[in-house]
Amino acid sequence: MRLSLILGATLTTLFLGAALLSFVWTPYGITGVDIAARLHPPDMTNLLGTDHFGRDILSMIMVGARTSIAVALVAVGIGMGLGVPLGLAAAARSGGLLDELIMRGNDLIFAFPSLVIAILITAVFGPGAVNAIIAIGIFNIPVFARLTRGGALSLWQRDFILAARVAGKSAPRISLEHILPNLANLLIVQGTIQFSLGILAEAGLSYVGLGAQPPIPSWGRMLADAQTMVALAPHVAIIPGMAIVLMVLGLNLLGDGLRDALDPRLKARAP
Amino acid sequence: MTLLDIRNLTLSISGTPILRDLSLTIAPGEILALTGESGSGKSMTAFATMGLLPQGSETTGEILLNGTDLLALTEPQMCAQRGRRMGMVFQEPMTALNPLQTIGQQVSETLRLSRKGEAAMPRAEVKELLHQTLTRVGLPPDKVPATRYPHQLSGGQRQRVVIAMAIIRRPALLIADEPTTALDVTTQAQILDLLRDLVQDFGMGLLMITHDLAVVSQLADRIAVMRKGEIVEQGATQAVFAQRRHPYTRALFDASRHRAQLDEIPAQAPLLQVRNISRSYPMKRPGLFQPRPLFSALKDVSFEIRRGERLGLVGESGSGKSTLTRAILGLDPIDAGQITLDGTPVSGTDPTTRRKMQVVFQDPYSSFNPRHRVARLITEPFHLIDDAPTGAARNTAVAEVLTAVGLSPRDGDKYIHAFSGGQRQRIAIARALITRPDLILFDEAVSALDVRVRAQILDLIADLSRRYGLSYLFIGHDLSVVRGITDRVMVMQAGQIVEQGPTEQVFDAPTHPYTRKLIAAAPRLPDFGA
Repeated sequence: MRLSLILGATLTTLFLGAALLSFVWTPYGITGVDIAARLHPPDMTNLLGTDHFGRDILSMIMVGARTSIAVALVAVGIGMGLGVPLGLAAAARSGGLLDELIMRGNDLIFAFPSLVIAILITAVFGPGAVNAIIAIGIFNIPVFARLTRGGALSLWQRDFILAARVAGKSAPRISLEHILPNLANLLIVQGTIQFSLGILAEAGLSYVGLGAQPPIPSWGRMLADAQTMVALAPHVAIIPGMAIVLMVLGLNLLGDGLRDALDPRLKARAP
Repeated sequence: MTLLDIRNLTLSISGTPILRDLSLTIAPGEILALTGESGSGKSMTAFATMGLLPQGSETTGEILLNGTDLLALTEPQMCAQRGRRMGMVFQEPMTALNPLQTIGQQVSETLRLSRKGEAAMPRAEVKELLHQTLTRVGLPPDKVPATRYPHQLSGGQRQRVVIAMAIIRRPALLIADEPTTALDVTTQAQILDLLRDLVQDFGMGLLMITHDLAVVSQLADRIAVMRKGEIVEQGATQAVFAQRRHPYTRALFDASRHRAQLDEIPAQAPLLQVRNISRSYPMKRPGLFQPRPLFSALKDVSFEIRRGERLGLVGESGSGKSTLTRAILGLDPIDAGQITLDGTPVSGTDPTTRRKMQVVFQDPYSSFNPRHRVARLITEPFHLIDDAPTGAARNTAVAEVLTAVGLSPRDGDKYIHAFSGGQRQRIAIARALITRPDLILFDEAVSALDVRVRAQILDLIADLSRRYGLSYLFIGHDLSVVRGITDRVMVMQAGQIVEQGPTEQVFDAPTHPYTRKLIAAAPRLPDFGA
């Protein structure tokens, strides 16, 4: 086992666990405003201190993890669910009209800066977690479509695909039965990386006020709220910032570790 | 006087023993052939000499080049030896060359390197030496400019470039690792001639690694036969071939000349009929608004295979063999003509004709989906049958074909990576047999196998054709293999069938000049009697 895989898996499990735990238990309620106890530094009553309304930051981080993970997970799901079939179809009809249509459509999406479009979507349809999910999800589609098409194209040249064609199997069936299982490693790894990018994008959107709306806590808005008080109570800004950094770091390490663990060529080279 | 003297070389990589107590010598101007099957340690011997062993290698013994022990040298000292004292020619010329550099840059690279305490060679001198060397290997710069890129050259010309790179510093020792395996027979003959001439002219020692005993017999002064990291027999080529003292040498020799037992077949009705088919591909536009020129891969090809007949197809790469195979299988469309199997036209989708025809590919390592078990892999063609057997009947069918190809029914539960190349090719044949086809296409099906395994697979093919009354089309580039496994043979050149007839007749008395050229170029094992 590699260090990156262990470290990444630990960090990811930690945040996932916190998010799941927040459904049933948090140290304090996240709506409990207590102005008298505002901006307390971390101590034994509030493990990570309190914010400018006197809310417990640990509780908010736990519920915020829920928002971030849900948004990123669904966004990756949209990207995979639409991108992978499109990529498979493009590879199966490589050089044909369908391939051109799909890939040029991808180019079109790639041509727009993703965060700007996400802001546009939320500006038009109103801010909120659902619109943030759609905005981030759309930009995941071409990533998965490209990756799938590239991997599938080289698989289509292999003899075992030729053998399946000789056995009279149709292109969709070959794609599902032979191509997709051989791309699983690639997609899992890319999925983890897109997941971490989704977390970052969600944090970015809610920082500018276009993500989940109050009173649902989100890491990005906690950071935004804290910026006027950095000098007064640095922990209010540092803690959500650290949460974002550690979550993204954990997912990237997990992605790297999974790639090394799943790729037989890299495994053979490892000592 | 010896040039290269390997004494008691033992090598292990990450604890796995690779070479054991290996000793050999090469004198200046001598050609030593190192032969054996894959995994016997031939290439590792060459890499040990060049100092190119992978990480985790441990060696004992000595490799003396002109008295210097190469194993005792540091990496910077080895760099001084490589290129100057010894050069290497690789198997696959396309991957051995950098596609982004001109051949002139690559050949003269070793001249332009300057080391500490040594001035770089003046430009004029580099140019002069480059000109000389390229001319010497048969690429005179006035015909093949040194400013060309590797993709603009043919396979044979690329291999000449690789040889030029290796010899430009006039090394005392040249190592050639399967230098002609990737080449066509006529090109192979030219490259072998070139190597022999270079050895004579420069007084170089040549360590030639090859699995092909026929090549050895034509080229080498001495031969060393390797098996599992040890040299089992070495000596003068003629003597070793004539006496074949070690049982392993004898086995290799017999397998190389192996001919399968084919029974006489009575003339029967035609099974596959190919009538006047043509196929062409569009090529790159010569100019922006000019039409794409067409490349004719198949020109008006006609032939037929009778039921029970074993037909061979030979030709060099690019002659249209693969295009023809794909057209017969209905994988690629044809522009004109008709292909019928048992009277019905072959089209891409019709399952009833499709099931009568199956194929075995060349590469046993890419022919199977690594994620499925063998039983699922070989039952894939059942897709063509409406009432495909299920449950117990399916298991019986799997057990039956696995037994037919000499494997155990239990092997159906294993994954493909548990099998060797030869076993995989048996599984590929089992997959082809499962629909009980009338015709099987063997597309270079034994080219990737070692000689002894190849002999076994050829016997299996002959045996199956006898038992199941199978017809097959055997496509190959190795004339001696095709000769031993077919009744009738066709010779293909540039998309046309230039000659066809009974195998023995075509090989003994070829009428077309191209056939004559092919047969003359093919290396042959001398006949020393049984």
